[in-house]
Amino acid sequence: MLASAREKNKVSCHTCGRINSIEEAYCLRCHTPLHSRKKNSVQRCLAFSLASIIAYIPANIWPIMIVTNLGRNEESTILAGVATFWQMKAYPVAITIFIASVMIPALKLLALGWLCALSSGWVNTNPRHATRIFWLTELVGRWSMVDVFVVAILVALVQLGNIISITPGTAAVSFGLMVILTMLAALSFEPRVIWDNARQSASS
Amino acid sequence: MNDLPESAKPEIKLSRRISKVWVIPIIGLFLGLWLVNRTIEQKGELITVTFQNADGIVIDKTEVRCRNVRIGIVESIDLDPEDLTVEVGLRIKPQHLGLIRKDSKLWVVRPRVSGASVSGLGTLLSGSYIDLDPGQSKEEQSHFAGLESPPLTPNSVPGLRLFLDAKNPGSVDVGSGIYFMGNLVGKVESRTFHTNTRNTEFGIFIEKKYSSLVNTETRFWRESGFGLKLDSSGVDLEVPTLDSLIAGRINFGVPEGVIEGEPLSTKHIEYFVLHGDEDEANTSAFRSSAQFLILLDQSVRGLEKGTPVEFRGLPVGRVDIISYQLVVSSEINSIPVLIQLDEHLLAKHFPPSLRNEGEDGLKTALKNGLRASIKPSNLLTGQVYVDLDYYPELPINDVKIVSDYVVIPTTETGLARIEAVIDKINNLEIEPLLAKFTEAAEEASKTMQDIQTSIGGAGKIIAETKLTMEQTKEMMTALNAIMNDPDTKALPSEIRTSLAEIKKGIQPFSENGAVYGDLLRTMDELRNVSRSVKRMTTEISDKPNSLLFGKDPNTSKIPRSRKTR
Repeated sequence: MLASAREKNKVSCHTCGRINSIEEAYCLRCHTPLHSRKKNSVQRCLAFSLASIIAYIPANIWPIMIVTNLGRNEESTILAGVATFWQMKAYPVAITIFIASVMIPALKLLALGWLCALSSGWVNTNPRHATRIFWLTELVGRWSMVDVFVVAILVALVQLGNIISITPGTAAVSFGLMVILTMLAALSFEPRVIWDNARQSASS
Repeated sequence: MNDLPESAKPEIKLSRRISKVWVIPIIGLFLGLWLVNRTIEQKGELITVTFQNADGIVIDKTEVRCRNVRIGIVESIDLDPEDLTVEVGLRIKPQHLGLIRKDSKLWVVRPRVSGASVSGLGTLLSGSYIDLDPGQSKEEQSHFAGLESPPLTPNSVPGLRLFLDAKNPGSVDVGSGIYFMGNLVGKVESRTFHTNTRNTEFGIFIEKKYSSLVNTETRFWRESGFGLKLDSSGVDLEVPTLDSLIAGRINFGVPEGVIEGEPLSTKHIEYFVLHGDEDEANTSAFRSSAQFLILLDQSVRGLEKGTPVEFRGLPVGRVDIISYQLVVSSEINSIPVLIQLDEHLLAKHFPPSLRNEGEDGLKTALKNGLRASIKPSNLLTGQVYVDLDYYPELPINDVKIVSDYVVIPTTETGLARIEAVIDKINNLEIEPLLAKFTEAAEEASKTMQDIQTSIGGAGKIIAETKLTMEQTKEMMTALNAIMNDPDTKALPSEIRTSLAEIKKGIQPFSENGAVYGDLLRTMDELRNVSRSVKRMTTEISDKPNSLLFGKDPNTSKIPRSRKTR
């Protein structure tokens, strides 16, 4: 196993990537404060994850979109939308919406939780798999915003007064918040801790 | 590196303190809890309404509105397995629960086209909704029977709501107008038939500004159909207004001579009787103030319940009962008739000082000879009335009381008197009269003989006639001479010249004349015009917009497909 920078008493800068000595408080090149590892990474990740779980509930219960069609209001939640598409036999659309809006956020939160547990040393696994999962989590995270974008575009386009118009529901806001919070959670996670733990367990 | 200050040396630490980031999920949690709380508060209460069918009602879509403001939504639709009515559950927002009262009305607003009106057209596109008319009652209720059609007047409209009981409802129905002296003041709102009483009950509404017209003495009657009255003043044909013929209408008012009653107390619902016509309504105003017994020794034929009792021609009451049962003792052979005096009629004709004398007054009246008698009011139909009058020659000193009723003594008048007259006729001596009659006949035959002798002188007159005939003959010969005169003969030629002149006058109208030519030309022009009009109509029917856009120059060509060219 390769030695980490920390073991060699080196710290890399967050901003410019210069490798400084561990004795330095600020980067010699760009004067950014130096940290060997991200601060409170597990706590932060957990906190953001929890917050996004809270936001996840109203996002699925409340209507994401209110369609006013000839004076009649129709509210639709995400799951109701999936059900509608499924009944219309538009299976690919239904599956896409279900995966992007319901499955991915849920799996992402699960993955983050698992990674946090891993970096706290409660679970053990091959660090390579853990890194791959983290990479996937970060990669896929932004695509959850698809729903919010669809609502935003529809609201902007369909505004014909009483004949037909679309307004965003309460869930749109909480859904957006939820996605942002999971992204923040992924961002504040420190994958290097996985390797630190793995090295520790290997040496002991 | 040594030029850096001492404090800049990094402090190497593995932090284990609690991060500030935890604030975010805590805030999130609070927000979430607040939202949950608000949702629970906003949920409102469930009320149920039964309808005959759920046409147009959709769960979570159909709204409950009051004055077109959304106050709730349909939450459930259930079918009652027993009577197959539809039970609709409505979730009403908590801030509007005050509108749900015991007398609130709910109905489904759908497009409706009825004879008189079109309503709910807006729901054609937006779908039905349930409308609520808030009640005024203090009591709350959570189960309602929905109306099948919108109420005519909302509960909230101030006014007077009454109930009318009718034996025969006639053509009056929901929507019929209520009129006061020809002015529309209200409407019939409901009609229910009670099987146990066999009465029809109408719920009526009178606008608030007119509600003071109704008081405890008010009578309601229906006006429908034609009325034909035949009386001494002639024939009176009453033709109702067209709308009352079709829809029926209810009139109300206080009968003539009746003092206006107390105003209605607004607290409780009042019941009135709906009379068949105005006369019935007026007679129903009868309020007995005193009852007297009269004992009749003559036939009571023509006398019936309701027969008027008059005092010297003024109506004061009516006959109530004619029955031997009124009198318990068998000593009396006369027919007892109970008469009633009407408070209103008395009040109309007599000052209060006269009315309030009581028993003493009656005693003095009897002393002055007050007597009842039956008099014919109509000799043809045999109708009679009871007449009260003073007969000073027949004073009575003691008041007789039979079965707790004061007896007004009778006197024989009217029919009884006529009978007496007939008796008198029977007793007349006719024999001497007949003898006188034969005498007169003999004298007449004598006169006839005189006339015959005078006819003998007629021969003279015939001779005179012969002479006149001869004179006529002479006149005829003179006439002949005039006819043969040459002047008379010239007359036909003059007539001929006049005819020639007339012919000249007609000339322009003949085939070669000027006027004829003009006429011919006009006819031609007319024909042209009609032809172009014909062309125009075909043009318009082919292409209606040619009126606006003019004739397309290409259309005059005969259209042909490219292949055949």
